[in-house]
Amino acid sequence: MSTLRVLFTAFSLLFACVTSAQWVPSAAFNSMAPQHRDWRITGQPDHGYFSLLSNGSSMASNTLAHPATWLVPSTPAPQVDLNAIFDDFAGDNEVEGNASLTWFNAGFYLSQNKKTFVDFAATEHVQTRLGLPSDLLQLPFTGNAMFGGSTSATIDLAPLDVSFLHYRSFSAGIQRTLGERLSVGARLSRLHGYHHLAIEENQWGLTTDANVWTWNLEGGGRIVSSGMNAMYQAQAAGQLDSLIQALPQQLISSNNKGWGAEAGIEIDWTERWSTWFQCTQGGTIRWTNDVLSYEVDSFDWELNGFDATNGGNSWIDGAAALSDSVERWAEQELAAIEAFHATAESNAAYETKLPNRFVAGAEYTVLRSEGGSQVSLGGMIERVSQRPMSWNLGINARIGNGLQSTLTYGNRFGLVSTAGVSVAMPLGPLLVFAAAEGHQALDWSHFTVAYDDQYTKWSMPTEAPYVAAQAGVVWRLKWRKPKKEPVVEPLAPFQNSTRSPALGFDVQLEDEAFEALPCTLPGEH
Amino acid sequence: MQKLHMNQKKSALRPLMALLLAAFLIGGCTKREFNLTEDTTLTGTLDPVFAVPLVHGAWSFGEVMDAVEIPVTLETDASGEITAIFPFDAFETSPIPLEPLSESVATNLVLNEEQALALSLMPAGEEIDLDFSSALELSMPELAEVDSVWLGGGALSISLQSALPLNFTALAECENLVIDGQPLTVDLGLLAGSSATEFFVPMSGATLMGIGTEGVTLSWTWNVVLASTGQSVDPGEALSIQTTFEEVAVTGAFGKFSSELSHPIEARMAMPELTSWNPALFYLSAPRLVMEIKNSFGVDLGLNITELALLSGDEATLLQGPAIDGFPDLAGASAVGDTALTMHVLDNAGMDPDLSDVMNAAPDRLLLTGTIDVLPSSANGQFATSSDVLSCTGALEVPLAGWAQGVTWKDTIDSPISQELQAGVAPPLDWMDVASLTLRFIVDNGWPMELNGSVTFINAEGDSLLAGPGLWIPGASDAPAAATVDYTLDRPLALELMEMECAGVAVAWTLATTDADAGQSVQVYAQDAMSMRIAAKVECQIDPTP
Repeated sequence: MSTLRVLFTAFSLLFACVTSAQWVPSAAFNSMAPQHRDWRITGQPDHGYFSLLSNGSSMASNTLAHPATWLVPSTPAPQVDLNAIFDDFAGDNEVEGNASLTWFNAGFYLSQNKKTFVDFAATEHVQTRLGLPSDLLQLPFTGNAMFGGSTSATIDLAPLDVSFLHYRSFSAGIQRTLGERLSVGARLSRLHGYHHLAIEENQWGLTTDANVWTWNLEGGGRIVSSGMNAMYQAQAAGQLDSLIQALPQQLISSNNKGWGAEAGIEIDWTERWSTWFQCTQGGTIRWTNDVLSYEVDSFDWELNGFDATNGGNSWIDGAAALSDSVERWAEQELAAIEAFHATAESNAAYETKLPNRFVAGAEYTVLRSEGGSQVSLGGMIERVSQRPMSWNLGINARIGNGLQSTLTYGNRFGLVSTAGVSVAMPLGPLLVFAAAEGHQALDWSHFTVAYDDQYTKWSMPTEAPYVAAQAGVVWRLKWRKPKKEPVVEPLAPFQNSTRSPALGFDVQLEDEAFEALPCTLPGEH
Repeated sequence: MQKLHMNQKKSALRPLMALLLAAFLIGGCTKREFNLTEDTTLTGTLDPVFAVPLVHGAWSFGEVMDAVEIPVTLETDASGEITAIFPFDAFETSPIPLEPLSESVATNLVLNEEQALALSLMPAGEEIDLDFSSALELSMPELAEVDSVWLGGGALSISLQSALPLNFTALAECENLVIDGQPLTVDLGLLAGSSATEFFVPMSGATLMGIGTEGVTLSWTWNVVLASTGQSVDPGEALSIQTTFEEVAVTGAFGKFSSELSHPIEARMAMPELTSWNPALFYLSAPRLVMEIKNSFGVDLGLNITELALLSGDEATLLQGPAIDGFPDLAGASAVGDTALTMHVLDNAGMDPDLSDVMNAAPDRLLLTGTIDVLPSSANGQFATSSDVLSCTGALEVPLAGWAQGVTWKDTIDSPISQELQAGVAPPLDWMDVASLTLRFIVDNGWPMELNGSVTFINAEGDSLLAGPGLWIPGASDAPAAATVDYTLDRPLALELMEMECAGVAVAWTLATTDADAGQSVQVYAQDAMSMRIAAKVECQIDPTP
């Protein structure tokens, strides 16, 4: 058994090294793990805790390509369904991967009465995102001249999105219980940015007129970066090794700074009903180090083909082949566009805003025992800036102080509906927590592509638009402290009816209680 | 009791946990395998449609005419009207000739007996003076009244002849023969024993001063000194004095010229190459002959046209009418060295037959015969110099107005189309994946010309195999004509061509001005602009598993 625990702990630690906080909704209901406070800042953990390099979270989403869905199983070989590819490219086509790793994490009660809890953390965040325009991916299927009765057809390139963000947050939080029913929490984060690349504005597109078939190239946008140019220059100069050697020094610098904050409130309406609301102001980071940005003013450039007014404006003279003329024409057009819409390069500092986040949830305790066991149902909605609303329903079960597990089902960011699970379990002084989201990831496909006697193999989830995982291990403070015998108020008269069968649990139905009964959780005094 | 409760709880959760674990295991075992090769079958449809702009341009008629290499001068006036100009030289003449002067006069001084006796008795060295005068009449037939005459060459010769044994000294002065602003004076001497002496006075720069009468009379006054040699003098001996103008050039004459002067002219002028002109295809509505005459004589002249004709080979078309009869007087220059310009336009108005009809006969020469006459003048002040000239140049000016129809341009483009189509069938992606190729011509035609195009697919012998689609671009009338014309080569047509032995295409373009059928005449302006855009659309019908 101890071997199993060690293995599980090791797996959790390993898994923790690859991931961003707040991507697994089931953590919100798993109150045994301190990680649930990422979702519910007003919640109190059972113990104080601390950890070093042992908590991580990650997510990956893929709405770009699911090759398995493009294939129709048949004998002897699968067939590629072009219509399925076309359909798959509709809508968003994004690949996103976010990860966070907590360097240090600690929390403790300020007093014996456990009214006030404070926590500190240092967490590394890495977020990447690639979005490809649906119009561009579907171009081979539709072309640029599927007008469908419209006066024009547009290849909208605005969804083209590339972003990379690497920052570190140092946070300090406080949670305070006010009276019997109200709990508030707040957290302030100091943000240090290290690498950033983003397309801040993108107005690119190509419109084809339905009548005269001319093209209008709409353009304009802004790309910003910080800390990336040095990497590019080092790579170009073949000095990447020296850059890597200097990386530790760079990662403790604090050139790009900002602040973030979050706050929450939770109200226990009854002993069974509780609701909370949490607002996270993602914060801003002002990038000042190694900044390089490019900006092109918005423009609309009509392409009419070769200009034949003055004998071809030299694009036809001396051209040995049509391709030469096309090349010359393209060069002339590009030169003209560049002349009128020059790219402005800048090293000026800029500011980015991290997305704000709002979480609202409710939990209803169905069953609760005197030993700390309980079963509850919960629901939660989440809104992150620039993303669709997310929702989740969960069922949460806790067995005393031995185990707490949560099952959720919901929808994240308008993607596919997924199921998730989280488990928290004390192992001696350690509290192990693991959570996962996206049951679709259990369905895998294996691909083998043979071409010119070369074989390419890979495996990937068949169709898993959203996958997230989180794991962590913390050291519980005062874990050896003997627990007092729980003091339980005299129970109400034993309820034994067809509506509430007595299964050995101490059941107290809310609507049948004449007055509130104090409930003592394990570990409480 | 509590332990019992715990056991019960664990018992309740175990089935749930087992169920979840089983679900995860079953789900986790789900695995699909796909083996893909180059031969993997593709299903579904792949019918993209691509449209691309190819060429655009805008051309004003003036720019196009400038770019065309034709042997003609094009002029554009302020309104934008373009005129083709074919210049020619008509004639150059001097209708007022200035004839050289050749006149002579002799004066003889003959001694009578008394004079001879007196001279014989004079001791040697004694002298006597004789004063007398003479006149030299110079006729100027071209002048009715002479004010002055410039002389430019030759000489005036004065000779003394005598056999008398006397020494002669003569001083002569001519008041109306002026050189360098002074009347001409001449000193002469003749010694006894010398029979004659002659003296030449160059006449370059000399001026004869008239008195407003016909011709010039040179008045000479003489003072002759006779010195005795002591020898006896016989009666009847004489002293002869002769004054002579020998071919003295006249470089200028001033006064009043005779209105009887008339100078014949005959000019034949080559016309531009209009021999290929087909009157069934073209009609020029407003051609004109512009005559420009430069007169540097200080005399008003008249052009009396006896015949103006356009010649086509041996055929002559006589031009008549008030426009010809009303040829204006050729005004004289106001001062020496100046040139007076007289212009006259012969157009359809006042011409019989009118010029448009004559142009359609494609003439190659213009014949002009007549006289240049000095017009009567009431006052003096006319002049003519030897360098004066009367020149006539002309131009056939053809404004680009009229109509044209049926002007055809044909060409054959050799291309082994069938062969190329067959060679182009090369899966997996070839032209067979193209359902149709459409060329779209978007024309905004401000030219008053319409174009009719046709394409015919031909074999190697030039025989027609298949007619392609036509193409018609309307011409502008009051406003530019907009037209969108599609030329589509679809797959059935391509397949049909593939089965033939198509070796090329014959392209024919027919040009006509707007409403030329109805005889509508149009005017072309330099600013008339035509813009055209050519774009292509390819509709694909790709077979994913060829």
